[in-house]
Amino acid sequence: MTEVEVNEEESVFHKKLKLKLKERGKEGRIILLKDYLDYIIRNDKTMPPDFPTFVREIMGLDDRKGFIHIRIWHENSELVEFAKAMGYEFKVDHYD
Amino acid sequence: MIEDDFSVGEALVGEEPEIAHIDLIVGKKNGAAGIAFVSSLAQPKMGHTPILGVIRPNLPTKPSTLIVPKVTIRNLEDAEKIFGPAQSAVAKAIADAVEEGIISKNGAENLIVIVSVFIHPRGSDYQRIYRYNYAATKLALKRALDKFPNIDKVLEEKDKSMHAMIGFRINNLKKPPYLEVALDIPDWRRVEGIIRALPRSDAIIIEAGTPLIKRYGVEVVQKIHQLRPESVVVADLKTLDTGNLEARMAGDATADVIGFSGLAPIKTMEKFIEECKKVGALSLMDTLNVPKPVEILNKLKVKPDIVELHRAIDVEQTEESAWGNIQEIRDACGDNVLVAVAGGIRVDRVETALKAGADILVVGRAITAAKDVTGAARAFLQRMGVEEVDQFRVMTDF
Repeated sequence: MTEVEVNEEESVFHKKLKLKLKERGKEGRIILLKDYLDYIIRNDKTMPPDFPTFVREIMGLDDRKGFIHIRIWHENSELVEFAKAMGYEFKVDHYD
Repeated sequence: MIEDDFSVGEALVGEEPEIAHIDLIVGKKNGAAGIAFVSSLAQPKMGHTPILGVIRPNLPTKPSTLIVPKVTIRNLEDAEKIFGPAQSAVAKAIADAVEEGIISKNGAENLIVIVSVFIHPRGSDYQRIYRYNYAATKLALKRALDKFPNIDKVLEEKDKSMHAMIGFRINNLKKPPYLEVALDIPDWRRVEGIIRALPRSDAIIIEAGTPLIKRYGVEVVQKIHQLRPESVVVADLKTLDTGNLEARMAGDATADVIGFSGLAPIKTMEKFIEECKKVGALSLMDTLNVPKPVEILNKLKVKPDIVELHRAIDVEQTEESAWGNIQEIRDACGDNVLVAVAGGIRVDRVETALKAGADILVVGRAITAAKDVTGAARAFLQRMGVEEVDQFRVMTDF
């Protein structure tokens, strides 16, 4: 692998977690964040270091037909585990 | 080593709820300590069954060590903590003490150790239970043998508040070469994706890079350990001041290796290294922008465990690598020092770096910015001649 081949701008391997909110609007986002905290605490997981940023992100994301689109970088990321464990409707798409 | 019949040591290490509190007796087999050892083992009490310290099943540590649970074991969950991470940590600490010369090899047969272990019922993080009990056992043993504290110290300290000492290591990095993947990207979700994509190999070290730590704090190390509990995690602090404080912070966050800058004052570096020893982490000196690293190393009374010869990201594209004479580093620090090389390491330079004497290859964007992180890391491991997956794990992960 050469330096030329390693171009950070081209390293697009991130994906979208499309997650359906349990309620529309701000309330649905707050429920999502509460569920996320519940999942982390009950499963003895270390708090994600980006949690403050994550809160801002979730509260600011557009609602697309009841779904919000969260950027993730692995199909088995903790957010996907959370969605499965907490019964959220979701799908993982490649970033477009 | 033991002038009287036995010596007593104590240590408190870590943070709630996994905090480790060790009370320890080390003494002669044919004295009072030996009698207590045999009596305790032969007369177990309900909820406080003493167990032998074993490094793994069928391999008891030496000197023979008896672990006595302080908190009543009420159920299997409590028992698993004592019989799992705490037992293993105590046994490893005692064996390491022999290896490090704290106890002589002769003493390994003539002495016994009794270790009273505290595990809070709410403690649940096995990483922390292991690390804290390892560090506390070794510290208590050393204190016992040093007769710490003397009465003057007790009188001096009795009215001052104390702070627990934290941390320790599992992997001492004794089987180089290693591939250190530097995570300099200040975006946690992307970092998580990279960590999950890395092959499971004991030869991979994960570095929490300085930008990542500056963005999220040193606690990010704990989250990395949650994702990869078996991996050595480096906290690349590049410390320039308050050496012992920053090393302790990283130790608290369960870092296995903690990095300081070779540009720091000598005293800062020495305090940093000493604190790393206390918390059971390896110290790493980063030589970025240090013109003559060997001169600095020769001035240090205590030497770092790892010396990283480093080119800056900002000059990687324009400068050719100059790692200097790695043998001079070994001459200054002793043969046990590990030498890491960083800055623009690519697959086609692996052999050159290893031939030059490097033990650790620090690779950043060549892996983290690759479209195929897994494949990029595998390419390095293969070129290094390292098995991708630990053989023991292959045999036991059914």
